[in-house]
Amino acid sequence: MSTENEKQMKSTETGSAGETTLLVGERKMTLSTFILKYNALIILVIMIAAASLMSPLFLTWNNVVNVLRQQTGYIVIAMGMLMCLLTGGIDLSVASVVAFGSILVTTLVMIQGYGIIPAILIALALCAFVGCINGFLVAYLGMAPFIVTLAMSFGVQGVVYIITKGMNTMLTSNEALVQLFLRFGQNNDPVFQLPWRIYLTAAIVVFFWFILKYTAFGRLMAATGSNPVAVTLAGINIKKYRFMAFVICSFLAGLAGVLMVAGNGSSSPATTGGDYAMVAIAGTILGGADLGGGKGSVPFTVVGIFIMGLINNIMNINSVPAYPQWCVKAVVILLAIFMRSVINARNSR
Amino acid sequence: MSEYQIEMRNMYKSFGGVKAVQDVSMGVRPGEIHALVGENGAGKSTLIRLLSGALTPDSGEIYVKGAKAAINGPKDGISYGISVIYQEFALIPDISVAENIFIDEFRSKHAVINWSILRKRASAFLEDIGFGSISPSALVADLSTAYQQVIEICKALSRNAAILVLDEPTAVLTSKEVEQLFSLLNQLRDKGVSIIYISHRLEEIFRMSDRITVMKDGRVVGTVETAEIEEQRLVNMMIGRDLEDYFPQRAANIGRIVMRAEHLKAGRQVKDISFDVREGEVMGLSGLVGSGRTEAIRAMLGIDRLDGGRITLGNTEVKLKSPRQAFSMGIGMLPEDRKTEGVVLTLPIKYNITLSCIKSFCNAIGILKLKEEDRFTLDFARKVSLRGAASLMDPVNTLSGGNQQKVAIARLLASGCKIMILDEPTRGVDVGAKIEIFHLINEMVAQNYAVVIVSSEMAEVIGMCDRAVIIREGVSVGVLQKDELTEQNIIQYSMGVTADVH
Ligand SMILES: Nc1ncnc2c1ncn2[C@@H]1O[C@H](COP(=O)(O)OP(=O)(O)OP(=O)(O)O)[C@@H](O)[C@H]1O
Ligand SMILES: [Mg+2]
Repeated sequence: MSTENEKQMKSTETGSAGETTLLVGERKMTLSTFILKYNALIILVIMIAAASLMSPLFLTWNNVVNVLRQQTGYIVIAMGMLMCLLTGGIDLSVASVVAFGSILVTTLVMIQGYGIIPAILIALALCAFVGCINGFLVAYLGMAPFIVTLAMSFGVQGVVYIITKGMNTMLTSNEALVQLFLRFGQNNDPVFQLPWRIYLTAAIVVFFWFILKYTAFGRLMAATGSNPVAVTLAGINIKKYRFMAFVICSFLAGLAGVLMVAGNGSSSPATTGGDYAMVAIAGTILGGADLGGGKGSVPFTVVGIFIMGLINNIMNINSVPAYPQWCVKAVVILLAIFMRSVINARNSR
Repeated sequence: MSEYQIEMRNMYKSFGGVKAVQDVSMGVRPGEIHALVGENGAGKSTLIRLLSGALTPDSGEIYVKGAKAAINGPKDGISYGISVIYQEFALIPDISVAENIFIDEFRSKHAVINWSILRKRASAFLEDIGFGSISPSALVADLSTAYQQVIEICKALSRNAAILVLDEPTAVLTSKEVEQLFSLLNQLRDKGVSIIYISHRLEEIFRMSDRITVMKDGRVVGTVETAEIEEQRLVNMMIGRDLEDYFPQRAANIGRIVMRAEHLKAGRQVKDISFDVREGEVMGLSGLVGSGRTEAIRAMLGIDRLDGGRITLGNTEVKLKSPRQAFSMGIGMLPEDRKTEGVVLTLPIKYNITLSCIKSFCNAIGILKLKEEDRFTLDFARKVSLRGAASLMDPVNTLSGGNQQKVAIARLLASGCKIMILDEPTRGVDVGAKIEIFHLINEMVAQNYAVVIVSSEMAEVIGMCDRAVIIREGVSVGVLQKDELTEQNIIQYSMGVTADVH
């Protein structure tokens, strides 16, 4: 879309003879910039190719749908994490917030007797409120995001265990809406036989892609992390964007928690110990973000999460036990970042 | 033995499709000051980076004292005695002056640092070049840009540089400091140091250099003896045409006062500064670097804390808490330091230009009208005569220094503010583009904008301003009307030589 515009611009530009040309030449894409840009996608393609050679089970419909479904929660969380990283922040509290969202739904419905819809809304609102606290402390009081959200993850974990007294809660009810909620989480659509959750996740991804590309809000969100000083001097209220990033991140973590209840039909306080923060951060960074802020993209973040997910999947179907899988993840992350920094260093010479 | 201390032969360097340096050859004799000039984006800084090893050439050879040098990285450059002071400084802000000067020595030589000796040596160096007033234990971050420049030169000297390259060194210095720098350079020249000197200020080139090499569009147009060329010819070589008036005339149509700042007080550097600006007027804030001009502006706009004073817009007193609020009241500013404050280097040119006015491209539900934005940006890029971009989606850090400054100016113009505060608007901008910027300022003034220029270049204040307030050590000490604006008056006021020139 934008390249189309540029071409048009260029031709009008060079077309007007006599005027000095504003835009000089085409900037050719060299192999190294190509690798740099599509680094995550290249890794993903190589992994898919390798996996389908290793096991005939890999490219079966069931397995593909399985991979897609398993990553939905991570992808939703990673969208929020991307917003945080873009503004130069980070959110380590997402696992606790996922748990918080899920136990709130089950507790409100099963113990407090709320309807499922108010329960979901309250859960999401309270999770977003956690984000407000994170955002306030970081954006308005200038505290370090790493520390704020680390503390918050303990705090919310505590609240989750206090509320649940450490117990798992099943969501069982004959109420029609609860049944609908569970069917949404566990069933496939009748046409393509894809889990409903995948559609919701895809919609969220498209939404954030759109926000970043086509709205002033998204544009300024990414600008904030690129150079906060210059952006402030340009008359932008960067505190607002920093704050919103944390609210969005916690909201989406809460949403992932709600979806988890729909999928499992239960909630567990042990979710607070999940790998959500780490996988979301790793996936986002594989997708081009960095901790300095201002970098990262929605599509590549999705790719990054799939890289993380495929590592598990490939090794599962090849019956590699769980513990070595973690080591392989470490290697893949380090290799990907290594590749990027090597090319970056070469390009700047 | 070759006649040259350092020689480059047939150097080439491209960035993607942009040919920044093409077939450039040049040689510098021992004890020569060799000026390198050319428009913004001509390839000067790129050539220097090739020389120092910061960039690797696509092809080409470098000879030091007639022997081929293998320069593959910045360390090699240093080992051949090449020291470069870049347009963008390379100091470490959070450590002391002494540590910055001797940073190389930390790598290997001594496991334990003897602080008192280090400080003594640093202070000897500073003394030597006439800047004994800088404390070796001061943090670099606390120094003014001018002093940071001095530290850069000390750092180069501490490496016993045989070839010293200065990329626009005087852009951040005021006249007195420029004099000090020049006497230092002359001193070094007499010692046989070869100096490559990049500058957009022609009077300096003519005063200091022995020979001049002119670059245009990545190529060398020619190398000439300074004594044998006059300014008109040189400018013609640089920009390929003759230049009209340096400071274009405008019909002054000055109206009522739109903004008034009274008795501003902030931090240690701003004690009592008052000024006002009228519609259709260019008002100058002049004074030595470090006199508190920039600091006063920053405090006024709510970037730093304002400890006292009144700001009036029209007839109402206002308190500005942030640049955002200032923008919303129609006061825009161009920050002093383009690299860290003026532009967002990693963002595309387009996003930079519309950064302050992005909201105006939103439709009712907040979605951007991208086509309109494209047209708008192209328009402004052309207005400031931006050069060297392959596309407006290129990040700003792919542009040359002067063109980055033009992006910052375009951003401010695009913001639609009627009161504009320009802090060093033409720093690092080439002669041709400078005049274009002056034309732009005139155009704004003709539309009843009010413009405040903070400038260390006296010629600019004299040539462009209708009036100037002179600031000395944090106090506004006088107002000079157009007909009183002379170099002598400005110097007298800003250095406090005489109290009264009337
Ligand atoms: N890292 C880079 N990536 C892409 N293009 C670059 C890069 N660095 C420089 N260029 C391009 O190379 C050309 C020469 O730039 P250079 O910085 O050498 O100009 P200059 O003569 O120093 O100009 P100025 O007087 O404005 O400092 C410009 O067109 C610029 O856009
Ligand atoms: Mg340059």
